[in-house]
Amino acid sequence: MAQLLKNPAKTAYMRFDGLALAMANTSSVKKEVKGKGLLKRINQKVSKDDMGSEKQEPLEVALDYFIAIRQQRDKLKQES
Amino acid sequence: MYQDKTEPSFDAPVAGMGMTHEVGARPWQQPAQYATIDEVAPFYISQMQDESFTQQAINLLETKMPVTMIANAMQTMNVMNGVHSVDVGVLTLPIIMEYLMLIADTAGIDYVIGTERNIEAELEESDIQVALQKIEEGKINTDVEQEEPTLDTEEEDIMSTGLMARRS
Repeated sequence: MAQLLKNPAKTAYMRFDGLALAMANTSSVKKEVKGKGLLKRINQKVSKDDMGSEKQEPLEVALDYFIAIRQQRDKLKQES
Repeated sequence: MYQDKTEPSFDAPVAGMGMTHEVGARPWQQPAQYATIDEVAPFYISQMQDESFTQQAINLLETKMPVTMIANAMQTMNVMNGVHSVDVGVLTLPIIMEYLMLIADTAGIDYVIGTERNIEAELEESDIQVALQKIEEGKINTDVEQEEPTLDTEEEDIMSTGLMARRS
């Protein structure tokens, strides 16, 4: 809490960094899962539910922007 | 340079400064110009895409000023100007930082993020806590005996060589 007051940027960045890494890991796991029949349909339903929520929380919106910029940075690093 | 800051900061507001104007007379006491992240993030990104800003940011980052410090300053200034609220600002901080790092990466410069752990400072805080607890428990004797200054007559005799000095 004291750290958040002292240096909010540091605390917020570290949390977003952790969340972005966690999301990157889970998305890579999701891509690897391949199923047939019911499993495939369940996976499709889950992905639809994820997309279905139209109104995002402010944190999710901020995280989307953060991840988009990070992807840009990663792309730049790969190019160089 | 910026991390080893030992000098006291005089930028803090004077006590009671917040009460020197009527409520609502300051920009931060008015409804914010932008209320959501969807509005604030493009505002910052468009600001940071400006060429003069990019050059200034590169210059600052080259002096090893931490990215966190620049982001904090930008965010606080816009809260003060009534652009957005504090909570939206805190959520926008990582976006500002990431974009600043993108600028630095594009320019190919080394920069300090400012998220590195300062172990010395962390230990210092815990040391102070332990010392305070020991004082409360009475384990440390806080009564420091002061030595009474003793007059050294021989030294005085040597020193008294002026015009008005007593002659024997």
